[in-house]
Amino acid sequence: MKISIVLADDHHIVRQALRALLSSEADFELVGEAGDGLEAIRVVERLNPRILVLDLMMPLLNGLEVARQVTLRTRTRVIVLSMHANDAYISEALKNGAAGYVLKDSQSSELVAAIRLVAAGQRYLSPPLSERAVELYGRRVGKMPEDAYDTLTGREREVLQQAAEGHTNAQISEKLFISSRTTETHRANLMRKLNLQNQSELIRYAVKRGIISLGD
Amino acid sequence: MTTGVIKVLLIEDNPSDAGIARALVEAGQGAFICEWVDSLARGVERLAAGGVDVVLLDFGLPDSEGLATFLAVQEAAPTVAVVALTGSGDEATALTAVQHGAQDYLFKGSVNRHLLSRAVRYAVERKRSQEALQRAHDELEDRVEARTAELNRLYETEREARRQAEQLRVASVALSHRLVQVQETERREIARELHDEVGQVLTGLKLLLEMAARHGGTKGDEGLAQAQTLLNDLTGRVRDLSLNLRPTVLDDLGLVHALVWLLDRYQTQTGVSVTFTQAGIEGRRFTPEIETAAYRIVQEALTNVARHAAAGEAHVHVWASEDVLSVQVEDHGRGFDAEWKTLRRNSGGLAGMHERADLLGGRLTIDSASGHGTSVSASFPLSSDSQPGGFERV
Repeated sequence: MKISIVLADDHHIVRQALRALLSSEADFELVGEAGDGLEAIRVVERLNPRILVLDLMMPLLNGLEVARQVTLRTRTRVIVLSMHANDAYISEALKNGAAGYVLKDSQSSELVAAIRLVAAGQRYLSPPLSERAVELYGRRVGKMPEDAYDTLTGREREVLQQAAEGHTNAQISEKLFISSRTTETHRANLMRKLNLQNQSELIRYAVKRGIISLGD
Repeated sequence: MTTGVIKVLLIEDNPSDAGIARALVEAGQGAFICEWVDSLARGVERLAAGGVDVVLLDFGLPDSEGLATFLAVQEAAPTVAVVALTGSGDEATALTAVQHGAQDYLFKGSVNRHLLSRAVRYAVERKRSQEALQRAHDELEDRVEARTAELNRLYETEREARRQAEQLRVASVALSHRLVQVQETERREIARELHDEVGQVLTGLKLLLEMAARHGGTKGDEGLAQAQTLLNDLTGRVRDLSLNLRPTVLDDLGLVHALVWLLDRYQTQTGVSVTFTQAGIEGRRFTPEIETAAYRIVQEALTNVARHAAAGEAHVHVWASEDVLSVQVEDHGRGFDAEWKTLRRNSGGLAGMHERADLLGGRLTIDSASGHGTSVSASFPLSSDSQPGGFERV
């Protein structure tokens, strides 16, 4: 059975070249094309191809969003075509459901191989790219500190201490030799970082952390 | 003419004169009620109790004479009409009383019922008109005063508005100058880079290709190979120039990815190691203006760290709640003191950061102290219709 393919790219010349390439493969059948993101989704939903070859940067609807919707709503598998070799792009593409990522300046044989592998249920990344690298990247970007307290700057910790001890902003400003506006900013920032809504929550937190003791 | 019962107070010490007067008054068919007292003191006392419309006043009282009598009554009841009753030899005094505010005078000898009732009625009427006129006059004065105060305020407001408009105009001109300056500086820099880095390489490339074409054979092939290398190098430089101006990843993938990309380059270029943490941003994007401003502020802050802080490492933290996005750059390097802070507020870099935050309703705070490092933090308010979720862009 032939592998049905829909092609989505906003560059006319690129589509032409890809069309020629794909039609020359015996087991491929090019069933549809699209020139923008919205059209891509429409065409895929209508024709239900096995594979969608998708340019990342298209007008009307960003390629990543197209990948996400197609993956969510259909059983079509998505191969992203892009000139960006940046881990960031690949990470996002994979996160949005792409099963393959092929660099635009790679050999045409790569895209052909990618389509076959992805149609068979596997994943494919252009050789210079590695899934491991992408995974590591994903972790860096998503790096959330486990303990919110770690995100406080030195100054914010000082202000937290002072505030928990009951000092007013004016007193804190004087003690730390900073302007009251700066104190306000630090206070607002630390409250937000620690997700505290008011002074009593701040004190409760400080007690829990051992920053002040109840005897104070 | 006045309707309704008129209450008359007769102040007359002579009982028979009083009798006549009362009879005449009361002959007015129930239109008048007449009370009688026989001295000024009692008259004043009665007036204090109120309820009297008009006073018939005999000028020859035992405890007062002439004008003084009238003045005493007027003081006791300034809103009550007064008709003077006088003996025929006393016209001068009566006239003076009228000048001072009495409504009318009558000669005791030649008074009849009609004259008296008419005089009384007219007196009441005239008194009321006078009072109304006075009130209108007072009210008018008050209004004029209020209006004048209002006009003064408006004038002040207008002057203040003019002053502010002038200030704005001056600031606007200064800003335009600065904008032109900044543009020219940037263009000069780009032109230089294009000339030095790209132009030179292109010239070299042209020569190589000309030579390769002339020679052909292995020499030609070598030339082509060199040209290829040069071309790759050039591609890299152009890409770098472009990314230095504005990284595509910022527009395509957003703030977090752009910052990670920036930090990688930064660490390679400066040797300062940077840790990066985020909270609450997962998958979120914000308006291009906010993402750009946040990116540029971090970029500028890191540039300052490399230039001035003499620090080995820095930390960048980005976090967002439902309605605020914040970025923070912290180092434990040299720091700088307050005076320098004020000075640098007018320098390009810092002023630029402040402006970027201000323009979006955000806030930039720099906390630094000599020997204590520096932290730069910027927050931006997020409107309720900021894009949630991912990369939908219509």
